[in-house]
Amino acid sequence: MNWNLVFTAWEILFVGIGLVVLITGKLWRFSKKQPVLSGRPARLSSLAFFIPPALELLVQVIMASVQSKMLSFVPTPTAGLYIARLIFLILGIAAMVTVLWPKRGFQYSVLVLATLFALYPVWFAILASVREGERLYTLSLPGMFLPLEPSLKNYQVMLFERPFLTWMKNSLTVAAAATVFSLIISTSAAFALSRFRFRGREAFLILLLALSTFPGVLSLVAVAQLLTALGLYGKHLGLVLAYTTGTLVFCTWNLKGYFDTIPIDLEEAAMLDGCGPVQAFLLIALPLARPALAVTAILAFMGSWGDFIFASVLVPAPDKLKLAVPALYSLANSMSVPWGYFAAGAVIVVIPTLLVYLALQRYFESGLTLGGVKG
Amino acid sequence: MANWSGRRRSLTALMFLFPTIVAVLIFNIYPTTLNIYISFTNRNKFRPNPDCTAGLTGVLDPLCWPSFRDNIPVGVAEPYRPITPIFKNYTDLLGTLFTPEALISLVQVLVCFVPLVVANSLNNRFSKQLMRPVPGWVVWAGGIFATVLLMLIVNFGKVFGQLLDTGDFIVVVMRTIIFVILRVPLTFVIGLVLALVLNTPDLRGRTFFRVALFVPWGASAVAILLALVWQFFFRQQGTINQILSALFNVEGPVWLNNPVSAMIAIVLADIWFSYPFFMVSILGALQSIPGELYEAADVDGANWWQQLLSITLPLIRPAVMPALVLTSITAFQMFGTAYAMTGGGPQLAADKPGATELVMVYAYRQIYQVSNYGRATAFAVMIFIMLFLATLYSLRITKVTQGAR
Repeated sequence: MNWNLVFTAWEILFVGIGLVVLITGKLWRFSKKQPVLSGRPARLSSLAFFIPPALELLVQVIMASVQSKMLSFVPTPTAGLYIARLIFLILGIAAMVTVLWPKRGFQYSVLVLATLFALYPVWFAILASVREGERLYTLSLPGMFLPLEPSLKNYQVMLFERPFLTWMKNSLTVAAAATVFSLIISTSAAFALSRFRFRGREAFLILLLALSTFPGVLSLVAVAQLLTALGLYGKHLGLVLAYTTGTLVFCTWNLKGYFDTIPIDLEEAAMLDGCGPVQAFLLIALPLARPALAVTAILAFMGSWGDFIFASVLVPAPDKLKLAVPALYSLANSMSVPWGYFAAGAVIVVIPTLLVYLALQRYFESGLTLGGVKG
Repeated sequence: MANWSGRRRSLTALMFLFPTIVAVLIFNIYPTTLNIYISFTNRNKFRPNPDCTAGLTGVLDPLCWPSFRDNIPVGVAEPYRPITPIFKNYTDLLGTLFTPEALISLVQVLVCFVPLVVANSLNNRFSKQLMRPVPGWVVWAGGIFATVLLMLIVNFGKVFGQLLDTGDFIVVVMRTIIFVILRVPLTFVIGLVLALVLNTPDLRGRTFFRVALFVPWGASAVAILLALVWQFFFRQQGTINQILSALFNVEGPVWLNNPVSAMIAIVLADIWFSYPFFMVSILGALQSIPGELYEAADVDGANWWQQLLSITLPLIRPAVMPALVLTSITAFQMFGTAYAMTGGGPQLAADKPGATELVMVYAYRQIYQVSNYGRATAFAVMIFIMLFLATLYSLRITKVTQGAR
């Protein structure tokens, strides 16, 4: 199939429609008896038909001049320009939809393009995981978008022949332990910071905030040294300690924000009945904060679950002790292993994560918490 | 506020805070101190162990403390010591920055951006006046024009190249800044457009699109795995090249081997991870704008564009500015996407950082691959200082600390 012909046909079609609109001054839609636009707005809208083919033509001119060695400084010339052609084709179709459907055309073309952009990488990972190893590179074009001859062999290999389940178990235990420790420590701190007024409170909160903005890599050498001294380097407990402190600040701020929203009246009433601060914390505030505790726990868990830097430096070997994310990373980068294995493992790790985040979407939309800022 | 027996209040608070304080001291404050100390030593792959008699090593390095001495790794020859001259790691990183030529080119580069700063402050002053003498875009256009003119005058390309030749630190930081400048505004525009579109009243299938467009945020929790998928798109046999060969019969290049296209690929992938954050925060701000404002504007005959510029954008500004600043800081610290896609490459010359070696990638590679701990910690200290200043500034702008009251 000669795609250059398709492009030419597309341009002729566009320019033709544009000319008709420009000359008659009326923009018709098939289903309507009246023209959608007429007069000056219609003539203006014909621009939408001319611009994409014009840009495409420009690309072709540049391409011709590149081939005649006039623009030798352009990096990777032809391939990049072909991509530009494709983009202009897509933009042209979007422009056509926009003009022919003035009410919603723009919205839907933007949304559909963005949705394709958003979902394609995840869809591609799923596709790669149901395709048998060696055939990843020798594919027809439809194979990049549709599951042709799907098989679950990659999953079978990952689950039963490789230590993938061990990695998952390691990741789950480390992240879960870190989350539990972090929550236990941070809940009491958040309660104190929300309920008590003492000297240095603001300074402490701001110190925590400042600490949280420093990425962990920057103190990694010292943390590794400390864990070596404690005899925990290369062990899961060391990683748990590192993650606990890593998520501590986020949990504290998040829970403090929630405690602030719980009215203090209940605790004051309890206080009149002779309840001390510890009892008020354990018996009143904690049960009320249960939803926030759950969300914070999930987010803290995700923070440790997806980490690569600490896991790869603090537990570098052996294979059996590795965590899922760095183990899958090294699997993807080894030349001898089919990429499909990695894809299968990645899908098993990614899909639950996605589901958790989608379930929490309302929470993200209602109030963006400080630690929720992933950038 | 609750008032548990006044005198013991601070003690009670301290009791609640005690575990957090201990954890922060042991795993944040102390490592930072040790980090600063290591940056003045020659610690590296061949000299990982402490010499407890030299300098402050005996006090600061935990391996020197009596109860932990048994845990010193065995079988490595020389111990590390304070380096001579004491700032050597820092001067290695900064290279020839403090020679007169390099300083002059630094000043020239900075001068080029003065017009933009002037334009910004002029605009701020104008918007405080009742009548604007000139519209905002004219001021900005003037500023940009002056910047371009200055760039031509000082021969920006050459001067910038001289500056980059000085040492690793400037190269890495400049590249990261370029990355931030490319990524944050693009992400913002994409997020803004999507939020505006999603905010259209009576849009069918809005819930579906909202959920679908949110997916990359979830994926950013395990960013490094999805970044590997993105890397696959740009390989020799990746998706893009397969589309090119199927449609046009053109053989595409290895996109990640060219410095420019590698950077573009990383920016594109990172936009994918980060636009939902803007989309969601702008959408929240949009929904809090009262509809009467738009009705009034409609009555006054303002068109869609005018409504966007004088109602929507000013009203979402308080919500968007913090997001913008925080995203810039997190973009500066971006690690997963760049590391998984290129590993910092393509390498332009031996012993030089690669073309996409951003700040965090450089720090990680110095630790994990090069194992030059002295230099890595010195780099960390300098980035610490930069980030600390940026954080202080952002705290002022975003007013997050109001939550502290």
